[in-house]
Amino acid sequence: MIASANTDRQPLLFNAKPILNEIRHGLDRLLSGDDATVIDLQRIPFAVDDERYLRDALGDGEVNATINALGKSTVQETGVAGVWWVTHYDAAGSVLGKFIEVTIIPEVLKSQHQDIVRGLGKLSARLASDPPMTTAEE
Amino acid sequence: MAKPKTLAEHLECHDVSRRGFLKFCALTTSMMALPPAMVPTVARALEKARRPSVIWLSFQECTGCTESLTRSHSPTIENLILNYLSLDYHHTLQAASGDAAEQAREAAMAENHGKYLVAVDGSIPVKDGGVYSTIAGISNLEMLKHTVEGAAAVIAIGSCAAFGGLPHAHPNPTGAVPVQDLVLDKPVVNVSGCPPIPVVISGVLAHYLTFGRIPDLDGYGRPRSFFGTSIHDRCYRRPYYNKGLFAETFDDEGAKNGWCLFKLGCKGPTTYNACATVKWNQGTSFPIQAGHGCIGCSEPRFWDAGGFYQPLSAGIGGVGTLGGVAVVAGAAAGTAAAAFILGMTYRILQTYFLGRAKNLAEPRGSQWLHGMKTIWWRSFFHPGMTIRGYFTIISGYTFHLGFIITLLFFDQHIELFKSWTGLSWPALPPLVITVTAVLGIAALVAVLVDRFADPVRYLLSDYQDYLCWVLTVLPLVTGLLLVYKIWLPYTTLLVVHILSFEMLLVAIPFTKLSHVFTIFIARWYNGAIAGYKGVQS
Repeated sequence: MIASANTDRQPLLFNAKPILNEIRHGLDRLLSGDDATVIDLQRIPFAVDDERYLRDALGDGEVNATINALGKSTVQETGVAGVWWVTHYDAAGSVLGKFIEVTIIPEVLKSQHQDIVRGLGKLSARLASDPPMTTAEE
Repeated sequence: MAKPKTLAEHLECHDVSRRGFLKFCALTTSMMALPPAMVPTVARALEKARRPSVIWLSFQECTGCTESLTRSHSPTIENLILNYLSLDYHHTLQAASGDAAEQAREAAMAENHGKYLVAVDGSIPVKDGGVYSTIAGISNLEMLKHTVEGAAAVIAIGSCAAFGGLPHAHPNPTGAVPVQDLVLDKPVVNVSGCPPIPVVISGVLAHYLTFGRIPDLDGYGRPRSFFGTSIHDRCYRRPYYNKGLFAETFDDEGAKNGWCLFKLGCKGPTTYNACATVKWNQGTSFPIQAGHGCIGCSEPRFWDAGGFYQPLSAGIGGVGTLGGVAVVAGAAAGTAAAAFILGMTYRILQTYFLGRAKNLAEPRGSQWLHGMKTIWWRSFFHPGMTIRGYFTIISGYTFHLGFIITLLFFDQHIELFKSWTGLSWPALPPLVITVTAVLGIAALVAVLVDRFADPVRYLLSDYQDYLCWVLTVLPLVTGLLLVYKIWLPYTTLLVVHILSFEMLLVAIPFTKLSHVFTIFIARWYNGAIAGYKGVQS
């Protein structure tokens, strides 16, 4: 088949379909209350068209978030709810890591306990150091 | 202010949020080629990780490995890892030079004794006392031995440090050796590749940083997480290989269609590395994706493993170098064997048809039995043999036994016999074979000297005696040179060795060397005569 077909027209795929199946199983597990599935795309051999094929198959979803922590990260829900693209960049905009997460919300998007504690401390310190406010009643 | 102790404190000092730390952990886990499910474990370990001191030694190298690491595709994470490591000595990167640089190394060693990491790129020349590469007047050999004394582990970065690489390639003029040949009492991690993939270098450093120990290694001392599968097993062109679709030239339809490059010399099936997954230049591509086969740069001795464009199925060494001559030597083997067999048949028939007078005496014993017995027991020493002294007996036994043992019990000879006949038997250790060959040569030299020294023997000797001597000693000498790769290239020596034995085979039936065969007939005949007469022979 491949021998006779003009491969210029046919996408060159290697692992895109197995990954789509892994995502399908991940969604089943998510619905039955099990753990999230994280797929590290940089550790899977890809042919030239694999990533485009995955993007087309999953489509675009409703959520697009940008994180600024140690360089930029983007978190996008795909057209399949519960499936997220998580991409980490460095300061120069080069891709450091590409993951597909099958989860309700990616961990990195949630506020972290330590950061909340630090934030609370910062807020309390700010309130303590501010001069007493004059209110309209006084 | 005291330096921060753990990585978590270090990141906090740099105002990195927990979210940033999580991102760092996800990327570090990916860098170590661990599954994403390991992220929480890595996070817990990294929180407590302590800052390791690294001493980086550059020996016979091209700085390509350092280039690979410092131009690595993940600067933020690299910087964090590199900043977090205390890189106390790296003569290409450090600001200090001369004595100050060497003092920094000595100070780091003293301060972190038993805990620091030594990274080495480049091979170490050991020939002539290691004079071919020195730093600050210290030979690489000396510096390595001194520096690793207090090290926790050694990371050999690049194929030169791991396997000798280019400096070790034939004819290896500086006697270059890899780190693992010199450092025997410390764990050595080989991160091979020419250059290694940057993420593999930082992955190993990250692993040590995270878990405080070196990663699991393969048989060549390489981290399994990166070198566990072959390029071929992870190649996106593998499905074409499985279907038998190959590019035959670099510009044919197959090449344009992205078919398998096996026939164009791709070394993917025998090369273990992470190129097919991690890829190069920020994960953009890797050689096979760019249309060129893998050259196998992360495997031992890849420079000497035949042509880059020679298919693996052609065999290592290829038809190019050994090929032409080997074919000649192989064809000559057939001719030599034929000459030997036909010649011996002729000699035996000739002897048989000489005929013998009919014995009219009454037989007083068995001819056959006595003949066979004589063949056997005349092989052993008996007092009558030493009437003319011990020299001939001892040297004679020595070179005969030396030759026969070397011929029959050297493992590679047994392999050859096995390939011809299917029969095999246990080999003797290579060292024993070396001793038998050297003793054989020594005894042959001794008998030659004796022959020249003794006027009677000298006068009795003719051209054929010296020819036989040369033909006997040649296979032993060329075999020794071949095994120890002395003087000539391996392939040349192999051909010379094969030809020397073929010459011996051809000469045997037509010279005094025919005794290898006729000795049994002659002995039997003597024994049989005595047996017929009923006396001891």
